[in-house]
Amino acid sequence: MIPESDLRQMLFEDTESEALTEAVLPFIQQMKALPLPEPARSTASLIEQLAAELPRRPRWRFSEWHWWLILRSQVRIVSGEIWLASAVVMLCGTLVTLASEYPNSGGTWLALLAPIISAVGVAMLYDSQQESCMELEDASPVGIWLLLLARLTLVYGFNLLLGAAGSLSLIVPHPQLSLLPLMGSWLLPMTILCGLAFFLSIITRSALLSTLLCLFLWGAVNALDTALFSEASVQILGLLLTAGLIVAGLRLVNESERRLGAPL
Amino acid sequence: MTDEQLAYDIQQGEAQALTALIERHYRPLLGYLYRMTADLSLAEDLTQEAFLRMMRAIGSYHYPRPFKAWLYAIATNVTRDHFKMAETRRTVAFLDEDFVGESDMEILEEYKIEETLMNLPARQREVVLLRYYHELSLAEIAEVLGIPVGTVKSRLSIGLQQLRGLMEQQA
Repeated sequence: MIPESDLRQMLFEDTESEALTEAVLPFIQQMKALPLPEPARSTASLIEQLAAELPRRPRWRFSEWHWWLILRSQVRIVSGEIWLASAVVMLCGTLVTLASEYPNSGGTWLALLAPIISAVGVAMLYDSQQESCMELEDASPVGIWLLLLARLTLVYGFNLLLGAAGSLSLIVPHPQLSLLPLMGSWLLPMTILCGLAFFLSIITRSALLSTLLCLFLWGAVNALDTALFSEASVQILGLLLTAGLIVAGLRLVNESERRLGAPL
Repeated sequence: MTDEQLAYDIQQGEAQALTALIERHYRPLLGYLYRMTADLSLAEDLTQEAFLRMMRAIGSYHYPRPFKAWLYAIATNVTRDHFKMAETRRTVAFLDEDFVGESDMEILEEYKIEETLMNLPARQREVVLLRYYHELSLAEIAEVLGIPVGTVKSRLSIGLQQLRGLMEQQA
């Protein structure tokens, strides 16, 4: 129930007259206290009648649950070799680093291999040779760009977990290493290379070409300056570049699908 | 959940949202239409018709537009359509069983209030009810009635002045 002072204020604002406000205030208060009428009919039959009018084909709406379903559906689509190769390479990198006597955060084999193996996996996601994807994409009610984004999330996430597990296993026998700098040594390069590999695979339509270009670039970066990614400005630019490359790649795919009715 | 969220869920075909919305708004809407028609049975017919029209028009509801104003606009149009087609005069004819007060004094007081309201012209009665009983804003009332906000304010002012006159007559 609205307080009397608020009701008085409301009346005054509506009438702009104190005299009129005071004159009708008691009536309005009594009116507000009037009970609602008891319906003679039950609402159950009305609800039943109206339920028959409910929209039968609900508008598709995106929710966390839908994203989970899409991710799960794409696990089987992503080639098994990608999962295996990533796991094997990350394991090798971790074991070699473990075996090293004096590894440092920036110079571990893990830091060298994690970015490139992730980029290779991402480059293989979109390959015009992969016929098995296209049937699913054609049948899917969601756009191809969303399916690709789901695959990218899966592969990147898988490599992220592997890298994190490898990093954790390194800090135990090598206490001179600390976790955050160790993860930082491969995380940003991996993110940037994945974005680049994704974009290149879409515009070149070739996983091989995309992989070779990323390999060349990664080799050049390591040959020139391994401390490049420790600069804050480079980190920010790198992340922005990655986001831009992924968005550009998805838009290209989406545009192509709309024009041709099929992927590139 | 807000009315707007429930309306959105109804658009997605969720029956529970429909049930929740009806349970929330049936009696208040019935009360509004009852005080516009002074006939409980007619008010129930109109209320059910209003909800039926709401369901048929649910595709045109745009979240997060204020749902209550939209619903009451539909109900107001249903009432107007009824009186246009029926060509009946609205008469003040409350029945004794319409009043739910526990004592004779309460029943009498309720009757006097309802009687006074019904003696207001329909245009003023609807704005007074929507504003002070159903607590809609001026903008929402404007949407319900399909008139400018300035007209709502003008009708409110006239209606309250007429109420004062009616109260003085009774005194």
